[in-house]
Amino acid sequence: MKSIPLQFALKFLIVFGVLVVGFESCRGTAFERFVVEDAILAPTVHLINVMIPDDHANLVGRTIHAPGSPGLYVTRGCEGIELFLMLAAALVAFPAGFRHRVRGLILGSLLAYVLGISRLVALHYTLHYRPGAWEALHGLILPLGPIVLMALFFLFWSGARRPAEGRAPIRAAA
Amino acid sequence: MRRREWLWGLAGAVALAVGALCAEPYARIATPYYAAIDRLIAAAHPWTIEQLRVAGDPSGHGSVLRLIGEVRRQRTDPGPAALVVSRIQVGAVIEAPLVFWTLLLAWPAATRRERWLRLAVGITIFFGLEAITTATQLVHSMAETSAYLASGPPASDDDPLTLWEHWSRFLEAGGVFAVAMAAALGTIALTRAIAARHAVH
Repeated sequence: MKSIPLQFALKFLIVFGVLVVGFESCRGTAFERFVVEDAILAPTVHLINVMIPDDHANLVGRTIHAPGSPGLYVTRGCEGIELFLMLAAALVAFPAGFRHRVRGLILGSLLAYVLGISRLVALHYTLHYRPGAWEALHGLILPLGPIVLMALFFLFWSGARRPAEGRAPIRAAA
Repeated sequence: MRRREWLWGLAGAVALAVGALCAEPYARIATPYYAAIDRLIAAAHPWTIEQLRVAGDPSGHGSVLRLIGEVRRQRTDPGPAALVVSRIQVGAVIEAPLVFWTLLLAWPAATRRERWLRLAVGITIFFGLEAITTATQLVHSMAETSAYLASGPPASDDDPLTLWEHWSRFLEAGGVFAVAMAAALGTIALTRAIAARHAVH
């Protein structure tokens, strides 16, 4: 990783851009509705109701409603899709074997899914019970925190292939 | 031991704490720069920036960076055809600076000279990064309004009208992080190359 920051950054940016454009072009389709509403928002509401049954949360369109809460409207960019897209872009951009990439994609996707749903649950509770903390949590910590955790996952994943490479001479960083 | 990974994790946690504490002061300090960039962009379009400042969030949750601008159909029109108000939460304003500077400062450097060089080059690139992220996010609604005035509303909300809107959606979908990271890694690579070149000579 030391000798390739620019190459990695450019590849990551291009692949991520392509993935974002690809997903944005799916907006409004049955696929996008399935991913956002059925695969992300419905389980989020279910989890909220499991954690605090008295909340009686329900999903109306893309808004998570609960009695006494103003309602969390999940807009474009708040669904957590970017975590998957970033993961995929980083795994493609970093030089690794096919099996190692697939392992990273499976484990990373699981992590991204858990983080994405946890973020929405946390946003719901913040809005409902701690609206004073909304600015710091919604504006910075909850968007960036999961990305930091995904970046750590990526570092562990990228470091996991180093022992195998250790047998070959490593070129010193410029 | 995975010392490197844990150190990066610590750097990330520190960055988040700094961001949570300093988002609003940073937004206030950076406002004149965003205003200058947005006025520069507006000068090439039939737009006027009336006000750009940190204000209370209308929903009552903290503060936002708020731009108020006027959009005319033609630059020569005496009066505006629309008034645009766009807002960005102060937490989102500090996102790109946090990612950029955390990576730049925490990334290992071979020599102290390389680190100073990285800082010098980083400041220049940082101004560009702020211009293409927060400053453009603030004016994209004006471009949208111009397009709306020229050709009517889009077929649906999922149908962006302008390149500005495409860029804005990219930034909202995690692009801010991706661009800031690419800018930081680009700076690191550039300064490393410069330092190596000078070391050879």
